[in-house]
Amino acid sequence: MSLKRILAVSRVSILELFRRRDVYAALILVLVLSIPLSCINFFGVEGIVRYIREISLLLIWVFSIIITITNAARQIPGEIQRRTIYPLLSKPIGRGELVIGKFLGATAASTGALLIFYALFIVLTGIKSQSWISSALLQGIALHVCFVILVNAMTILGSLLLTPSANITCCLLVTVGILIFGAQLPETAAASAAPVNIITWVVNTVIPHFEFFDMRLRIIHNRGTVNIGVFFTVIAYAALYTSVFVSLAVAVFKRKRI
Amino acid sequence: MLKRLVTLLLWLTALALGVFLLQTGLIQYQKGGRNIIAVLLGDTRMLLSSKMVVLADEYYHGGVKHQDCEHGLSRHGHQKTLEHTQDEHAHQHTELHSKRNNAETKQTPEKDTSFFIGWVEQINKEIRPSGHKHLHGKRYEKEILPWMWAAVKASPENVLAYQVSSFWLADKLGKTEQALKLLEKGIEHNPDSYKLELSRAQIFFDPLQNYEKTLSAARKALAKWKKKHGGQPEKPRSKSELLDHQHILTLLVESNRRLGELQTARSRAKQALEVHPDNEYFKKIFDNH
Amino acid sequence: MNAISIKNVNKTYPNGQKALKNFSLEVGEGEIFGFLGPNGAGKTTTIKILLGLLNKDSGTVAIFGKDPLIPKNRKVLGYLPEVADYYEFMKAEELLHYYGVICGLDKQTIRQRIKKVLTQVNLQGTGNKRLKHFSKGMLQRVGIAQALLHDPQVLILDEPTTGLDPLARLQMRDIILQLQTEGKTVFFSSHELSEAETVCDRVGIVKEGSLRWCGPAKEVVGEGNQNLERIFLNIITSEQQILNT
Repeated sequence: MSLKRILAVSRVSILELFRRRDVYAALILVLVLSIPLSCINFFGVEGIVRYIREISLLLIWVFSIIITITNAARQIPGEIQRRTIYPLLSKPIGRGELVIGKFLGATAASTGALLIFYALFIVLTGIKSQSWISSALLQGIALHVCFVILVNAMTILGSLLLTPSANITCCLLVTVGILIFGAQLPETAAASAAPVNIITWVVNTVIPHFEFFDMRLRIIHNRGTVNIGVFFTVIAYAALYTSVFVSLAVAVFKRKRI
Repeated sequence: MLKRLVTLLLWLTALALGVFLLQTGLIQYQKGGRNIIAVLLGDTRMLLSSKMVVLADEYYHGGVKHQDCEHGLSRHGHQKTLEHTQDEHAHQHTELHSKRNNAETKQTPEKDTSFFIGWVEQINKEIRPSGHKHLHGKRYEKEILPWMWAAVKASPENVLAYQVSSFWLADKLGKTEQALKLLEKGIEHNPDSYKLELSRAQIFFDPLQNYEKTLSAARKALAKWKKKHGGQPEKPRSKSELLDHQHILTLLVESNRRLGELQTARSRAKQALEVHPDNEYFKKIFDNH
Repeated sequence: MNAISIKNVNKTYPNGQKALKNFSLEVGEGEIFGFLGPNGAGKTTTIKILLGLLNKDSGTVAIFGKDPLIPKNRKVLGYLPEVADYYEFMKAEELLHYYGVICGLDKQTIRQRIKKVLTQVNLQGTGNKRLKHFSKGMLQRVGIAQALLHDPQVLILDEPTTGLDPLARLQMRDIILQLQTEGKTVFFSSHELSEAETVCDRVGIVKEGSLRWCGPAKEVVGEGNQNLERIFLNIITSEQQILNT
């Protein structure tokens, strides 16, 4: 495996995301929604900031999920559809290198977009509250980046097994579903009778718990940082799932007929 | 490149203008007296408004959902008795609160959850704030206002939204004028609501200490309360309404007393005891004057 | 050593379709070989197996004696696909630079080679243009440029003149002949029999997964002033299998 080739492939993915209009459209939408909201007068009281954090962070999460999944979903299928996969694989590059390169590129592109959103968030809330970067926010950003990496890996694996539209739909449903309901699975398992409780427990154990990466409540309500041990545990958790998804993707692509 | 920039700028301007117009209400139109939000949302606006109040409650509790807290705003509304104390980190459970808890808590069978509550829940407990923490101080207490504002806008018929907002403005933030204006608006949309008159009376009483206006507002509240019950105050429909009745009478009696109208205060206290025989305050006024 | 060696290769797709049946073919170094056949004959399958994009069921394939399934052995290969929508968001130079890095060239070599191949395919001065502004003919030439970039020994061209105007076709032919003078081996599939007739040293005609005829292009024409097209049609429709190598 050559790092140079992997990075060359990833560079193309980054170029693609930033030369298409999607990210800028999302960015503009976030701005157009957040800025007027931050100017609303609530009963003549000034300096209210938590609602801006809530709405801005919600928008950032929504758009980061959309951008990450739609971008990752078209990486390899796009190459196949355009037929650029043939001149690419006819060169001295392995299929594994291609998959890893695409994954890294999609991740770098989505992470770059995410960091731009957060930079805007920091400026917007900083102007309003005179408080710029907190350690909880830094942790939140780090975990959000881990989330993006994990979702990228899952989507790229999905892109090799499903059609692009099916992949996008499934990944969106799974991601949003786990974010909303993932935390309630243990309770559901406990409250159910067999065999539902066993199935729920298995699902609870196997699925990647995306809700681990969502620190919005802590950031919005100034609830402080997460315990450092838990923080690194969640990062390790993301790394484990990512490596599983990417390994599976490499294995599937090596056997895939194109 | 320049053409694209100009097109982009035009789009941005159009979008910004649209948002600005919405915000200033210039494109609100009247259809049966209702604004555009009411027309679009229909009956779901009450649901939306209630949701906004719940969200405000969560904000008050530092992002923790109401089911973790016994005296959340959305469940009990504005409760300010003369004996209510509030501490940032501890909870004073009045008899009223604990009675309500006992009545409303459902009995659920205990389940063995140890097998299922594992690492997932441990991590989620750490990631999500657990244990509520009240907003304290003007700097933080104002944070619930956007959701209360949204609750009022979403459904002008949500009396609780007006009550809580006005309490918050007057009591927590010292914005009594805004609170009274808001209540007036609420009364406009809900002319039969005695609760809003009661809230007005409370604000006149404390912090404004304007006892004449307190009397005026409290009388209106009483009249509307009686009207609601077909002129039979001795047969209230719920414990909450009984409490409110007690509150109205307390304000009337105490206002009379502070204005020096002791006989009127005593007489009112006597009448109040007919409906609320166990009330220690009315007994004290009746006995001492 | 032969540049391309295919011996007794069989390939059946999962749906049961037999794409190649005991297929054998050899192309010498420096040869221009025309690979002809009707649609569905097995041309694309053969090319994919040559490029290491598809695994065969049995038999051996070698490029200068090495297995093309191993990525590093593909350094000597250059491939022009039949149709490819190259990344429209990229500039021509960026695309070539990308492929150059994939092929393991260093920066300086890439810069030099980009200049050379763009001139070779008559695209000098267009390096900074986005590919989405390129015409079909220009994209085809970019395709040739990327195939030539790393100076490969073997070029596999799939329908190189498809979609080109007559002038561009003439230029393509000149490029192929030029490559031969440089000692490259060119293996191209085409439906343009007249071009195969003009350019190729040898021609192979494949039908239903097996090589029906293979020999020097001039030999196919033979007596009676028959052209390749007539011969091709006769071979394709003939019941008997004539193999002449």
